[in-house]
Amino acid sequence: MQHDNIAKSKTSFKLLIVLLASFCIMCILGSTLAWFTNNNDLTGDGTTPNASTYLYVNGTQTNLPAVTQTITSTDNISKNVQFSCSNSNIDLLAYVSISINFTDGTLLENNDWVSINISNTNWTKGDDGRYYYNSKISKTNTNNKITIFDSIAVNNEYAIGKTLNIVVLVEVIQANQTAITALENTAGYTLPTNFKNLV
Amino acid sequence: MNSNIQIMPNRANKKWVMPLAVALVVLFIANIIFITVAFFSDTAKGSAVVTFGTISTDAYIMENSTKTTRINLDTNELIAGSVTQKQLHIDVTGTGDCYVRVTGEFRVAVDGTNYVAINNLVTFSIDTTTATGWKLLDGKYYYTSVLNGTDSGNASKLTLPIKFTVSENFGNSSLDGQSIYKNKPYRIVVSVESCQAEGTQLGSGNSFDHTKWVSN
Repeated sequence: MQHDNIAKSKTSFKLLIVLLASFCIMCILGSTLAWFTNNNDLTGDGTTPNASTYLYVNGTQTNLPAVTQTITSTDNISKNVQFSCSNSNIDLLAYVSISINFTDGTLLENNDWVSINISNTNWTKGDDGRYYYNSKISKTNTNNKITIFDSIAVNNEYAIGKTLNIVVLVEVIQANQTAITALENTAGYTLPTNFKNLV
Repeated sequence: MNSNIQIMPNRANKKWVMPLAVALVVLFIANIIFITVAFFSDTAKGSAVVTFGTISTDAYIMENSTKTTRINLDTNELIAGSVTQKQLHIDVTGTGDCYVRVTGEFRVAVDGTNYVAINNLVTFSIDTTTATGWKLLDGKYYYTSVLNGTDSGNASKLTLPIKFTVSENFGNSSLDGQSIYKNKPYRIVVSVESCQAEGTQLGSGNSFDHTKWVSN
């Protein structure tokens, strides 16, 4: 009799444990999955835009914006000045500021003595004195070297013996309307119409 | 019961049974309290909710008649002042009713490693004048009514014109050569989240309360 009671108690106890364990597992699962949610991600990556310029004199890259040249005769002196937009990854517009001085401090304000031979086909001189490149530079062609001028014209024999200091500042800017607006309204540049129409 | 108490100590190899039972009882009580709090804490009525069915969505962009989860932006679309628009499609693929929200971020790793969101310079947005029923709340776009599988393919509800607008201060030109964001790795993430509608009580229309959104 006592053994029967012991067996029954043992069975009931085991049953209780199983029931409690089952309930606890269900509760844990239930609370974990209390809310049903879902998430989808769409992603993209890449490199942010970059604009860079490099200047070349007779094919050699230079970090100096100035080109010096001693005048030896009244003729065209070959001096090939180019730029590229290597390492850029966006379409660009370009413009150049050029100033010519004698190293003795004499400022050349007109072309009477010396001038540069810059292509009117590729460049348009703006009313602000800058030269604006007539084409948009595609991001796929940024390694191309673009000629700014290829020679210097010496028009007056009194220039012979003097040394010229030609300062070339080439700048590039993203090719869109925002850039055009910034150049005109913020920087105060006077842009040729054909340059503005490139965007 | 008394007989159990007298006999149990004699069974030395079963000493683990009583502590186990006590532990289970404690866990049982703790679970009841935990679940009661979890289910009742943010609902107006004290009723536990059990949802049967699935909550699932599919989100993609159509490019050249192909579904893609990749957001391809040309670098020319990331220059200052640019606005790029794409069509985000959402399908409700689960069997349960749900709410849906969308977020977007543009992140740049200035140091090359750690990506930080610059949402003030490259802004993600949804044109809510076109995507009616969607509302911007605390930086996330919510559809303010319940959606279900029958809404899949409903362009007026689930085809969203998403836009990336690049600030003029982003700095991509030589005029702004010192910009720290030039030539850096970036990542875009657009997330479409959904949660069960049953029991969440976010409401709809003008009574929609996004603060009751639940997530696991």
